[in-house]
Amino acid sequence: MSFLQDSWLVGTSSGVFTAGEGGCERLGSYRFLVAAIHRTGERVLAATGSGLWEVTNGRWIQRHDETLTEVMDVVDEGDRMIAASAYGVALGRTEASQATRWDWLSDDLPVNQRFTNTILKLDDDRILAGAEAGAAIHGAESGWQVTSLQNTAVRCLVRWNDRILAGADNGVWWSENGQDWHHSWQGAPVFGLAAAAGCLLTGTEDGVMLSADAEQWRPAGLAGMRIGAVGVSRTDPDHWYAGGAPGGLWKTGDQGQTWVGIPEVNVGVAAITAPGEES
Amino acid sequence: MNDCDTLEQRRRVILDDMAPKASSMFGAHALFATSDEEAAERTEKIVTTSLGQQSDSPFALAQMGCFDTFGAMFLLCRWQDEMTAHTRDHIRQVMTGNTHGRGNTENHWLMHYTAQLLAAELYTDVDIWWNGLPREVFLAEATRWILGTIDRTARIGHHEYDSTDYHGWHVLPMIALADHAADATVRQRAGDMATLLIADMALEYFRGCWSGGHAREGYRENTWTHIGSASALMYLYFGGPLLGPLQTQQAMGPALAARYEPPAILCAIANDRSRPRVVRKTKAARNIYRHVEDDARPVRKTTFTSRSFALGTTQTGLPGPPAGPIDLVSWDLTWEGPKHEAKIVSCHPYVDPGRFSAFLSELPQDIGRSVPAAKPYLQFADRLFGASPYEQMMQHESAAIILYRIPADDQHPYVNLYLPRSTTWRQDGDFLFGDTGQFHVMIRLIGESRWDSVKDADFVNGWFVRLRGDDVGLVIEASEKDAHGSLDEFASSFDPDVVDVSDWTDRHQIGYRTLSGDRLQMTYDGDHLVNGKAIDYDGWQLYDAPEARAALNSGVVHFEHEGESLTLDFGVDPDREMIPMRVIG
Repeated sequence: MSFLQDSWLVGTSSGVFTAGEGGCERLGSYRFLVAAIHRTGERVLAATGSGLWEVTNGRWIQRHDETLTEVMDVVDEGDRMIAASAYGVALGRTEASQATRWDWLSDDLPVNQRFTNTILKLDDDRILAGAEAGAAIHGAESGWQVTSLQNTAVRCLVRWNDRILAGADNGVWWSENGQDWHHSWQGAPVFGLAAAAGCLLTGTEDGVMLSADAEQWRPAGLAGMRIGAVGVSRTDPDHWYAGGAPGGLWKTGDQGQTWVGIPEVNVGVAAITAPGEES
Repeated sequence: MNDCDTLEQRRRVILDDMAPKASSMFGAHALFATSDEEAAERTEKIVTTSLGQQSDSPFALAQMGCFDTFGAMFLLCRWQDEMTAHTRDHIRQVMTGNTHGRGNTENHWLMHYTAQLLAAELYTDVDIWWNGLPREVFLAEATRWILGTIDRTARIGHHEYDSTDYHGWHVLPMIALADHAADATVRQRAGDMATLLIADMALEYFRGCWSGGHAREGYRENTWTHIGSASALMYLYFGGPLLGPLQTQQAMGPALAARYEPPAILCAIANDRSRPRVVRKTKAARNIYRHVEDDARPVRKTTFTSRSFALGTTQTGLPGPPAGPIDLVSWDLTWEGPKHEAKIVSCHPYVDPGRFSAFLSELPQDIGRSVPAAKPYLQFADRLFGASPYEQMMQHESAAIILYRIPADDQHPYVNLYLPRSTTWRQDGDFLFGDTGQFHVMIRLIGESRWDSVKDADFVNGWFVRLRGDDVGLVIEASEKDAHGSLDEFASSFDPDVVDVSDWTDRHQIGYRTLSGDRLQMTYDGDHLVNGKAIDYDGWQLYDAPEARAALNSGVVHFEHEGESLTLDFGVDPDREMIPMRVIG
């Protein structure tokens, strides 16, 4: 495992930090909004306010072009990247020259369907996009199809067991196929989701919520704080991070009974990924 | 000092003023241009202490932002032979090694890509650029965006149009490219675009002011006579009185030392007040991220310029609430005079968190606080800038109707109408008649009104007439003073029924018979009629004025004045797909 694969990564309104037992430190000199971090076995991609970057220990490598900016989320397929942005969804391929060029899938959609906060790959042909107007599925052949999750902004998506969970402005929703959605928890806007074995976390407008089955939810601390992102350890499900937006980075080792603030990250937090977590 | 007839004289006056106090990479041009003995040493200090220095303050987070990289590259390209080696090395190190921010507005991207293009053309021995890409790859990207945005602007109009505050940050990059780009096509196109952007100022120039509507006006500055970067460029290129420090601001220093000069016909157009002129322009729609169903429509501007005043209005193209740009100014009446004393403007001080997140990608839940926390005046109830989605207007020559239908639950259910204190006002019922000393103005108030006084430091200082209620508005017409004699005689020209408000409540329709006898009829959310014929906004050209003509999507703009002519041909292929505009325009 590389340093990048072995660390907690925290995307903030002012760049990326690594977090761990040894403390937190800034990673690289990029100091602008990092909305999402996608980690695969091969590389780390940062979805940022100024485009898409490949994060390395040294120089950050530009993966956007002059058409891609305000990136909210990204899926890395190796030879192809899928970006969710304020301007819609785009497919990127890196050419032999090292230039990455982007083809846009949603230019013809209405404004609120275009603004895409989050994205999830459903299968080889289809992607699920969480937009301001709701969730929609894009297939290579079928184009865009709206799902039953509509009229609420969808801000985060995660797989958990055989379900897909969506965080929306009216709580948490679940679906087995991405098309048909059911309310899991009706409540405050949800900005972050994290899943591990037997543990589902949400970051909401009013603190962290926890569920073991995606049906029953209970508060898990940081009430009164808008939580922009949450993360749960793959090896220790009691070990979580949560980020206030605003409010900075916090951690707990006892499933949210006590939280400790991390003063090194005192800016708004938008993304957290745990070591070994592949989006 | 105020009577400089030539561009060269004005250039010299400003350079001499700027050089002793030069403290920025933009002002440093004045040091070299005036052959300051310590130019190289002072510039080295400026560059090494301001470029590439990262500090912890929030504002400094943008230290390697586009203003810095653009300022550095323009300075280097213009004066590299006279700089110290250390200055040159520092700029090279920063341009090829540091992380650079692209920003999020049109002027940001233009400066970013201009700086990157100039650097990538210069440092040909650098294989891998600061962003990890091969130099040629990034040079190609910068070239594509610059030529693409020029192509868009020539076909459908400027996005960040006619901004008093930011126009200079569009003009300067074009000048930098015209003077210094190695690519001949970029040089040619950029030079022509610099000329077109300066023509935008010339067509609506009024004795030192830029009249009418603007995509972005200076915050709290739209009762000023001189505003933003445009005031410096207008003084340099068009002359007029030199009245304030904005006209000699360091930020526009590179224009003073540039080889590029606009064609003389633009100065002649700007200063020709011999006959009234109607200028119609189309500008590009602003990108809106969310909260509305439809994209913005094209912006249609109308500006009437007479001998003593100019009246300009805008069809803003907004698709409805909450899209209301934070610094758009839709209309004003402008004349020559001191700060606060030569503008009439109105504004519904619309407040909604959504108006921020309609144009910025931050969380809607957060942005209503995060944006105005740094700029609280964006939410001021006494605001005169910031577009309201509940404002609509029409204009015919020197007359305009401005109407508002504000929802009853709006946080600010009123309209601020700004009137200068030094104008002599007479009120007859719902009519106000003003004598500015140079011309007369009639304002018919629609709705309950109350006089108030407004003063915010030196930003605003005048009368407010607050129009209270849900459905309010005004009809305004200006007329040269010699047409009617005294203010009383001017007032007597208007019968009480000259403004027909009988259908306002039920049909939201206002009628007005102008001083010249034309019949205007405006229906809110409906037709705008002049003598029974609807104004054909869909048929609007890119430029339509006595001195300027251009069809939409043609890329050919023709100027004509007093036997002189100028044609700008941007080599547009009307069938070619335009690059997407992914910035806040």
